[in-house]
Amino acid sequence: MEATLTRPTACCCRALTSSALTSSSSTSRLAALSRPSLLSGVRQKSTKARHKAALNIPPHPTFFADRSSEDHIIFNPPSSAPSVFHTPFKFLPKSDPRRRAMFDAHLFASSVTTKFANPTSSSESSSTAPTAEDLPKVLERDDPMAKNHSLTKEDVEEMRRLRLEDPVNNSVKSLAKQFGCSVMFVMMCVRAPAEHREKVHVLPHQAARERWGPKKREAREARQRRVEMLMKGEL
Amino acid sequence: MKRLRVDRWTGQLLVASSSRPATPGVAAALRSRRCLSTTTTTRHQSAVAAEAVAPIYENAENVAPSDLRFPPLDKTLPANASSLPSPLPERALHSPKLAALHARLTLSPKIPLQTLARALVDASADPNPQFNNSNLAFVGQTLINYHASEWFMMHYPRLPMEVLYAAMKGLGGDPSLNKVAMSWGIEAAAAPGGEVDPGLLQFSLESTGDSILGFGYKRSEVNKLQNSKWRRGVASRVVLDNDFGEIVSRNFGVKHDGEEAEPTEKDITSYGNAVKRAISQKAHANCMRAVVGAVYTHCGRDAVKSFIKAHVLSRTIDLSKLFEFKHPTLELAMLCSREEFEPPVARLLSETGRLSRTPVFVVGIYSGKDKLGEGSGASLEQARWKASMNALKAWYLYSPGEDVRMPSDMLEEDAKPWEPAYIDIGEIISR
Repeated sequence: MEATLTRPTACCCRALTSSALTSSSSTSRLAALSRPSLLSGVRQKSTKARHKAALNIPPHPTFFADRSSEDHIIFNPPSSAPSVFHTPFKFLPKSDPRRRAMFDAHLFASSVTTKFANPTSSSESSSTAPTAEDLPKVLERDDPMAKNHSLTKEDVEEMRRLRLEDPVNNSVKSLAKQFGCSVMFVMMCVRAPAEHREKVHVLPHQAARERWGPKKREAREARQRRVEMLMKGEL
Repeated sequence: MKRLRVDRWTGQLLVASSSRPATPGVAAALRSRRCLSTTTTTRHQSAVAAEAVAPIYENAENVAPSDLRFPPLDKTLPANASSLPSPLPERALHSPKLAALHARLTLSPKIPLQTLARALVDASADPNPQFNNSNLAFVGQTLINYHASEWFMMHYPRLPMEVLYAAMKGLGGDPSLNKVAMSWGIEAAAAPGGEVDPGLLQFSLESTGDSILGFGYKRSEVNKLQNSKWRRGVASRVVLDNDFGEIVSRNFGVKHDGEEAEPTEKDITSYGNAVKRAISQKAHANCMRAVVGAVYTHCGRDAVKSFIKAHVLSRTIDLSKLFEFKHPTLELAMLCSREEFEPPVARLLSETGRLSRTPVFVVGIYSGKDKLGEGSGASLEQARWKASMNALKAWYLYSPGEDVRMPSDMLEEDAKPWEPAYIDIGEIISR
């Protein structure tokens, strides 16, 4: 089989084995990457070859570690997203026998809720149920404390009056800031007059849209398609 | 729900006889058939035994010299075979293809070859309901859809109606039953006629038969629905549309303004255009349903249940891919408020390459201290959507287990008393 190898393939094989065995060549390449002259400069025709060569990084040395000496686990396929067919504890109906079986485990150390290593918490807290500090941090916009749920009917009416009177100065954002609620809530409460919507949101966008080139148009369409695919679970 | 006359389901299939037609319409159809044939040969549909009148067979020596260019395919072909729309039922006993199909499906010997031959005649080939498979296919379709819907309801009690419709179509719809029929080795005749082998599936590509298969009402606003995108809510689909939530339409493959659907250039392949492929698919599926109906007619309830389980319910269908959401975060928040869980919040579990071109964020959706779902995406927003979609799917795809009892299990003798199954209270948002 070796005899039938064509010449370029043989070259590749030799290059691969040499890079695997001798770390000197790989380190020199990595050193070349960090050379400021290559990375800081603008890419020109004269420097194109050097740039490409610098990007040609060999695989990480751990891929070539001597595996005969120690036992280790290879995750192949690598760790994946949890299956949707695994019903979380909270979603099990009251009558389900799994609920009773999982209850004890859930009380002390849940198998459903993943525990995350927290350097500030002590080691004994990991054996008990996760506290609020153990959980990862909340994304900003989902923080329930950040929203103001104490708006009264009068507040809402005031908001509507302001928006309908002067939609230019009382924008959705400024009203949200003024009343301490989300932008979405303002939009749920009141809709700007039709002529304002036409003037501010439709006409300027139409003019801008007509100036778009094919690339921008395609990029926008692709973005919309990606959202559709995401909602279908294809992405 | 429309009421079924169970006592009238299949009784008439077995006693069907051309000498005493049930309705005047059928009698007229038969009279016209006799005029068409102009010979003494009469067709009898008798599934009990082959006691029919022996047909007059053509003598090979009587063939005129000019006809020798196209010699008869079968020596035992009756004289007027080509004038009939479908092969005579007696010829079923001499067809090797039919016998092979019967043996391949390991059908019970109680099912005669004549019935199997009748299951292979589509309504488009022979409009006479006493000789085509429309009655058998109706029974078969009802049974398949009953068992499929029962299986989904018991195994996945929280499925939304739209997903249930899609899943039902995935098991009992035309495309999948077409595949079952193909896997059984059912081959189609090039054109229907009395002279073709009764072991071949016979249907016409020119016209679809006007047999009624399945339930549903024809909507008066069907043109508006097709052309101007009127809303068709799930509630009206449940009441008006067919078992798969599709609009009931008699003119198949034809646009509703009366013109025939013009096949586009993309549709035309070496296998014909899309309309013809759909007609073929429907004929194969109806044939498969008719075989199920034949099993029920001759062997009974238990036999057809195991037959459907083996051939239809055994097919795998990935329910998690049938979902499509519009506002997943809103839907999840409504679910949590309905079930009185803590409002869902998104928490960032891990991330990599936030400032790079290809970042990955892993976001988990939590209600209180419980994680409901987890998803990864290239932006925080995408990951949050994905995590809420996964949480919703985990809710909808709850299953009480593999070995749930079906309501139809209660029909067996000495069955244990029924324990109420888990039923969900309904949809989270109306669609």
